[in-house]
Amino acid sequence: MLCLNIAGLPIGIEHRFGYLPALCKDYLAREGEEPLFTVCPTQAQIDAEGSLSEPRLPDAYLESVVAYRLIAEQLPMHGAMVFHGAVVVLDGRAYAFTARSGVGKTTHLRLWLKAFGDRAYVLNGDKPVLLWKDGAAYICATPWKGKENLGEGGILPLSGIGFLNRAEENSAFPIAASDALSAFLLQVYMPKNGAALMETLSICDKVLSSTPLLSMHCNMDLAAAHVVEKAFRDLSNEKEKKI
Amino acid sequence: MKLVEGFAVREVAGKSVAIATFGRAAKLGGMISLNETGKLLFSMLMEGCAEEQLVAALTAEYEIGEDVAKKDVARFLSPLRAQGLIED
Repeated sequence: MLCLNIAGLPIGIEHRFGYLPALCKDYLAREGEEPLFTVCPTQAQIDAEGSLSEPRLPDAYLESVVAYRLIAEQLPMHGAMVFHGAVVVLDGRAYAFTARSGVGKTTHLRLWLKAFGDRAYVLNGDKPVLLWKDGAAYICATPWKGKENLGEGGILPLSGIGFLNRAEENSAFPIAASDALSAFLLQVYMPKNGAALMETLSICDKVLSSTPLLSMHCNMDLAAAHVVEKAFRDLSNEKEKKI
Repeated sequence: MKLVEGFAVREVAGKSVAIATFGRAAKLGGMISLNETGKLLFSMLMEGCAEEQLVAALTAEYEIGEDVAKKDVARFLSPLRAQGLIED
């Protein structure tokens, strides 16, 4: 059995194939640490996942997808949830960009890397975990980081969420939590279990109410990264002034 | 008429959201974002009521005529019925 540390939580995975240990090698829990819960992907679940793609992907890979979904089902009971987004860190501040697949999260992420050089890195490129702990939102890297495999790891306070839209001209402006709600909920893993679903909504409420939120309208020019970064900086300065 | 069992209404980021937590509601799936009127109608449907009571609640609460309220209620019920979320 693998015991991982995801979002500071020890989590067990019973696995049969070699892909998961390789995928998760940088996320192992301390030796002897007892998992809070353990997930066991079954062949039936792997087959169900396999039926979704043509041609069928290898079982070893499908096992990792099923394992993460099973983890996502349980995380909300521990104050955390799986979020679909790309996270960049600039000068130690973590910003998450979210949008439906294909809008250009990874492209925008790469613009930040190009625009800010050594000051920026990717925490997770696809499916990080959002953790609500001690009254604050944290964004946590996971081994599941998308087909581009972008993500250097780490857990950081979440400094902002940007809702990415494609546009001819670059702009970014603050939005209220209530206006961001629908787009946000679409990018959060919603558990099938009722209690976990309620916890998920509770985390969503707290994260949206406490995190700077931007509506981003971006093209693929380098300037897009600067426009969004400035909007986040202005928002953060405003927040500090209020405090 | 009544909503199928398994829905809960929760406030998230200042908005009301109806979520399917168990039973038939969960099987049919989903989450419904509710405005103020929707929240009122949805809550009544969770308890069970007649269509006329929904119309009466709207006319009383929002000072609108019966014809407008009837149309609003019909528009609200239509997708719920189509999804099989209402038991008559």
